Amino acid sequence: MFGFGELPKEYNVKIHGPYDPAVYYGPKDTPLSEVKLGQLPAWLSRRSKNPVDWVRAGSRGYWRWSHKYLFPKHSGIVPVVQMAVGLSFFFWALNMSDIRKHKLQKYHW
Amino acid sequence: MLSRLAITAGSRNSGSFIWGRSSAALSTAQPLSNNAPVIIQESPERDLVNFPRRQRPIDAPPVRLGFLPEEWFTAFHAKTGATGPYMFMASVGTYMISKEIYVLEHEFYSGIAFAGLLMYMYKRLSPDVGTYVDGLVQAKEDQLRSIRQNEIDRCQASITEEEKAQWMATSYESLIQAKKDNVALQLEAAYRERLAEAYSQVKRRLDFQMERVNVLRRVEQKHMTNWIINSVKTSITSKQEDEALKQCVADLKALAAK
Repeated sequence: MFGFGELPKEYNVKIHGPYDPAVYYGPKDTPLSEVKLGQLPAWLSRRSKNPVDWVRAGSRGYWRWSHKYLFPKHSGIVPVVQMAVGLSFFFWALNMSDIRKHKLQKYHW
Repeated sequence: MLSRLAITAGSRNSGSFIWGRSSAALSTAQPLSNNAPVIIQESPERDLVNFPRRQRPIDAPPVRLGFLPEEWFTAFHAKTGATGPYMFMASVGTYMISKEIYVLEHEFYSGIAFAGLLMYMYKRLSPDVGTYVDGLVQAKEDQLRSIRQNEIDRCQASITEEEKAQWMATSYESLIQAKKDNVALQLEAAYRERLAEAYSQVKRRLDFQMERVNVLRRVEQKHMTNWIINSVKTSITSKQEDEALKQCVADLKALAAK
């Protein structure tokens, strides 16, 4: 149902080897960093509209971050600090409407 | 059981065993490091260029300010120089504080104090905690590697044991050959013994035959002589005896006269 608990349809063990949750197995598109400004609407229109794909993209991002910072043998304190800063930012954005009540000035010209 | 099979195979193949996998390659295997080549049988369709096998890195990539990736800074260098990213952060921060998008409320100051305390603790404790945690990681890794290494060692030990068993089986082969030679020698000895026996038996019978013929001839001869002598004796009359006696006396007289 909605692809829960299933491997991506594009994944083929014979070609891709062992499944890596950090890797996107679908067709390759130009990365966002190489997209020209004029091509941006076309690029955006090629993005998936399916929320399941959005969740999968987030999961792949988490796994890429884990492989890069969390899984090395000597990972150190960096992943902890990154997680702490990221969560701080997330909850700051979440509580922004409450924090705004602590404004010192009424007007900002 | 395998040894016996190997013997039969070896007798057909004059003792050279062909292994599916060379045991020499295994015995020279080092305790594996992270960079050791991993030999895995995979499908020929496997795309290792676009989907390479993931290697676990030893160290995390470098960061600045404790959490920002180094490449975020180097990406700016071509356009802004080395200080550009810091200027970007400072200007954006000034703008957000000035417009009170980021409100400097009580939690901001407590956050500064908290961050300072954590940094102090990190500077103070990180060497000891780092070595301790690295020790834990190394112990866990060694334990996990030992599972594999123990399995390799076990297989190697069983291979050497099997080779030794096969080698010992070849000695049994020569032992059996020696026993066969021994039996052949015994058979030869028995054959020669019987040959000698047959010879002596034949010789005995031939000797008996010869002796029998000899005896027969001797007895015949004796009987013949006896018969002749007896018949001569019986044929001599007393008159003849007297004549002979007289002749003898006459002969003696003739001799005495000379």
